[in-house]
Amino acid sequence: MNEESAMGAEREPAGVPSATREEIDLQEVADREYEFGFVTDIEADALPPGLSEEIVAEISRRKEEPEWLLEYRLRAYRHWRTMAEPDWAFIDYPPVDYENIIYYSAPKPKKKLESLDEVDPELLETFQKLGIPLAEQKRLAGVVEEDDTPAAELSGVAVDAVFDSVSVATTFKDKLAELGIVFCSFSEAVKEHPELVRKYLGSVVPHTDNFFAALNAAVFSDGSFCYIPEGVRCPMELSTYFRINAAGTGQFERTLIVAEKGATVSYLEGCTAPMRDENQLHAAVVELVAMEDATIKYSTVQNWYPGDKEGKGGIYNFVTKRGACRGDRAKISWTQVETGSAITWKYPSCLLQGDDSVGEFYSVALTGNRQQADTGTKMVHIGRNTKSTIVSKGISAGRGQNTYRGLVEVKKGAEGARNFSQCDSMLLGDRCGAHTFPYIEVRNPTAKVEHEATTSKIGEDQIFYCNQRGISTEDAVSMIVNGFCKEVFRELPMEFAVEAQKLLAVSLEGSVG
Amino acid sequence: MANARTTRRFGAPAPDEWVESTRRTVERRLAVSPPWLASLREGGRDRFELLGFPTRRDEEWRYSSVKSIVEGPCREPIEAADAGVDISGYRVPALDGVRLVFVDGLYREDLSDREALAPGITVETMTEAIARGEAALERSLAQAPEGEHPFHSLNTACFADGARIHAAAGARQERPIHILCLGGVGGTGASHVRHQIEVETGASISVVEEYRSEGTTFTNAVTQVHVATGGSLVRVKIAQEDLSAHHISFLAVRQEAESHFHDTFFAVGGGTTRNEIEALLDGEEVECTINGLYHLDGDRQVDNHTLLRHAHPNCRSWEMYRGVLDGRSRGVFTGKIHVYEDAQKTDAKQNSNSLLLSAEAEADTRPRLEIHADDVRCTHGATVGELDESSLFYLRSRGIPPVEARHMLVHAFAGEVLDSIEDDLLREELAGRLAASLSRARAEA
Amino acid sequence: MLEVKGLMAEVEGNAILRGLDLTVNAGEVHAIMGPNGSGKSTLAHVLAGREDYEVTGGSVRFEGRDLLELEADERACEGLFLAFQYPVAVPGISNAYFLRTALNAVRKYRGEAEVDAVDFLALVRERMKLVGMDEKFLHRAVNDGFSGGEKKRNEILQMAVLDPKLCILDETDSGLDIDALRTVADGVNQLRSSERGIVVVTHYQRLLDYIVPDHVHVLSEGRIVRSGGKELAQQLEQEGYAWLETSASGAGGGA
Repeated sequence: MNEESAMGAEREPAGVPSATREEIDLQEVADREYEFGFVTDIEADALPPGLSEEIVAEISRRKEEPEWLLEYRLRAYRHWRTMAEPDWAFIDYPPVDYENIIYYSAPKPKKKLESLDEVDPELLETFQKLGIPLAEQKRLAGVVEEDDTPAAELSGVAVDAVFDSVSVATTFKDKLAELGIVFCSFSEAVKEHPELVRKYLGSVVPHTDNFFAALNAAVFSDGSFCYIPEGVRCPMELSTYFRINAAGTGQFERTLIVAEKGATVSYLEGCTAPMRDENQLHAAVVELVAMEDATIKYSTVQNWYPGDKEGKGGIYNFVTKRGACRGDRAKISWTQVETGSAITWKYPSCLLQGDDSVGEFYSVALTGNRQQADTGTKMVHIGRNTKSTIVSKGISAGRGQNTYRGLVEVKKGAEGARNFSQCDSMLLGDRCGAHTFPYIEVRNPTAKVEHEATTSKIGEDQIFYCNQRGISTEDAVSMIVNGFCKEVFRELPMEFAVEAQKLLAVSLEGSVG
Repeated sequence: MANARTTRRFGAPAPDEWVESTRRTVERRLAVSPPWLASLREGGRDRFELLGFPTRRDEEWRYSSVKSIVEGPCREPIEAADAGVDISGYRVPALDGVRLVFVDGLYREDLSDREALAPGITVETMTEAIARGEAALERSLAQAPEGEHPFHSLNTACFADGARIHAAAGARQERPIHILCLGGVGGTGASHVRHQIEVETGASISVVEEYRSEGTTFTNAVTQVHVATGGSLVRVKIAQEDLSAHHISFLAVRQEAESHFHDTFFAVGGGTTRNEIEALLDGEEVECTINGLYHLDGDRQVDNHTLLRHAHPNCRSWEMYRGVLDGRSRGVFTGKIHVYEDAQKTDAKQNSNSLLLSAEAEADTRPRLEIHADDVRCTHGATVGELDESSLFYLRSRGIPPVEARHMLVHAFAGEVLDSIEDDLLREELAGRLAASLSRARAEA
Repeated sequence: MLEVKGLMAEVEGNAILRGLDLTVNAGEVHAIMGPNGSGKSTLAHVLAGREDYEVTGGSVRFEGRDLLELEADERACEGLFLAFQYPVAVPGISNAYFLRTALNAVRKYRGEAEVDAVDFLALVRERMKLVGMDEKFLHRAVNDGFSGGEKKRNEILQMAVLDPKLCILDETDSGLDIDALRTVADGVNQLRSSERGIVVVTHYQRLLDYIVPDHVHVLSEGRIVRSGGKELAQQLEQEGYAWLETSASGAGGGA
């Protein structure tokens, strides 16, 4: 399974037939407030734009990587050269000039960091502004640090912060280490745990998988690495916060999470970028490996800069996320709230290899203004009695185009496989689009696969009813949309759920006139 | 309809022998075509050569291989104009009445019957219409569908004949008009047929398009339907060819305001079948029903592709495709509902259900919604699975033995498609053919 | 007619019936009562031969035959009828066709001639009066889109047509208003005869106001913990199940 052609090719362009009726009572389209659009003034150490074997080698050299990793990158680069950008998604954007992208940009450290205290205060302030605490003591307030049972007392969220291409700080590392949990930047993992990285890197998403994954494998600069040893339940949420700052750069992170037998982890991911008129490319790869009885819960709140009202600027988000349930009864659960990016192209997927393994995908995707999203999942049932659930809620506003694309594949040996998919779309306004493209491939008669899809709008009677009870139209819309997304939000960790709801409300502001 | 032609080529270039064979066929056709048709045919030929053949790498062909057609023995049109044939076996009470018979793509006056026509109904052959210089023909034959593929171009280049049915304003014909296409009579090979059905304002007719064949044949059928304001057309297509036959068909429909179209695709034969339907709901208050029922066993496959284009407000469409899959067969359904901007108050329901009767059968389903208007009700549902256990138990708890209980449930599953056919005789006829197909498959299993 | 001894059954590894004894003779009406989760519906389904329920011990004889040996349809042909708590909708099969197929299957099993469409229609029409059903239901798909009351009536109609020896009514009163309940009960009462046994499985006593039982059994944790006459049902109605469980465990040494 890959994303090269994985679910398919829509031959038609995304263009919409022109209106045949006069544009009457066109709703006022929102100016979306993007509150994370500031730029941090920090000196960066960047390579010149463009991509070649030399650039790839230079990235590897600057990161002081071992030979095997350089070879991996070069293999990926050479393969990427042979590939064409996929064109099957329901998205439309001008060609990306891959020779005009800066593939490596790192904030210039004043000196080698020994502790968090030495992180550039500019950086700390940036993350502070974004609401990401990098100071441990703050989170630990009220926690008895000298307690000798750290697992019982650890709370809050451990954060790995990635600024442009480089991880700048990881909190709670030592506390987690006491439980045998490795949580660090990818670069650090390459140095400290090369055997683990080498074993799992590319094992779920091979470098040949698709155009963007190949590009990432060649040039990825940093990301998070997380390893939960056998039988350990990670006592706190692990979180990575991604920030694109520098202009003209692409961001290519790589996340790898391995949960050994019986291990459990919940991982959160957030992203923002400054407001810029140019489009910036983000091509990340996430690989999850869950062994027997392990559970990985991966939650994303994606709020990259979406571009302005006219569709100028914004992040092109081409991401490959895939998890493998390698052992029996393993479980991987993806939850995503996608409100940002000019273009979103991502299909967090599950390979259900172990018997009785479980895959879940819960998604809220909102496209306003000129945003386009083509997102969904792939559930590949390989083991016996594997189960998958897909709940997708797409909200389209303004001139946004929102596509669910998902594959449910039941292989021959997947006796007793079960899937249930529910894909609901909501349209706010009459110039947006909501599309549903599921693919169902069943090769075992004992499988039971059910797919349902609906499309709705917010009824004027609903709004009126709310108004009559004293609720403003904006609040009513937000309330109804939140209700529409409830099944997904309840899968998010509490703090994230609140944040996601707020984000949705902000994104929706003014989208209904 | 706008035809923004893509120049995207398909996965495999047209092999030399196909190019040569097609050129030869077109040469023969040109000799008997008026200039406008000659240039259409040449255009079709050139386009076919440009497009090539689809492969599994072409997204819209991902589940069905045409390799057996491309590499098979059915390249050349058969064209045995006076082959002896007995059609008594194909004449059933449900289809008695007006009948047009085509043998290996060529019209057979001796086997046809055009006596019982109601006033205002014209039934002629494409050749007759062309010879008569029918004005609208040039434009309508030149139309290419949105999902144009090389078989369509091939049809334009090579078709020998077909039926042309016209219902004048207000005309009505009670019994269905039967188009019977027999293949393989004059040997192994291809037949390209092109039919047109025109229903004018307020007219109402029904048409049964039936395909039968003996031995390995390749049928490439294109049917164009136009239903004008307030008109009504019921079409039933019966694909009951030899189990080794290849069948590719394209139905293009354009409906004007307040018109009704009801289509049933019924397949109990054929080795590899591709059934494509494109309907443009080109006016308000249009009603369109697209149903399908297919039973497969052995290595047979049916690939259904439907596209419903809701271009105007206040239209309703219903779609129900059901497949009963046994043996190592493969049933494919790809169906899209496309709601244009401004097509408010669209009400579209699509359902695709596949019943897997064996461990080796495979079902691939791609229901699609593409929606650009907000005040619409569009739903699709898809299921794939075995017979429902609790229904089976319920039947058995009433004393019905397992084999019979399964049998009943299969018929019930299929019956819901047949139930929407209003004509009692026709519905019973199809139910009988389905039962025969199911029992043949059981006997051979 | 029915002799259940030490019956034990599991659902997905959970023991539900834990040694149940019950004897029903022809002409008798037995009520099986008990709190939710006591195993009432399990008993009904096990007797009817539902495959999800695994019998792990005990025996069931029906008219001298080992019932557990038989498939679900064979049990039905032998004369055992289960009126479902949740009758299954079978879209695409008309009620008439369904019922005639079932009747002929049962008749064939008994070595009787099949009934033709005309005789069948006459029979069904007559039996429909019993449950006050409109003839239009014959042409609708089995239970598809039926209201709760219509479904239950349909169950009793099937019972009347198939003429079983032993009828098991699983929570037939659930979801019925008082009029529907009365109609259904009237139908059942008309089917009472000296040759037929009836087992009424119910949580509430109210159905027993209309179908008066000869024997009442209380099921708790998979066993019958108390048996008595119809007055036992009234006692349960007044005092609930709680006292029974405690007294039963006291008397029976732990039920």
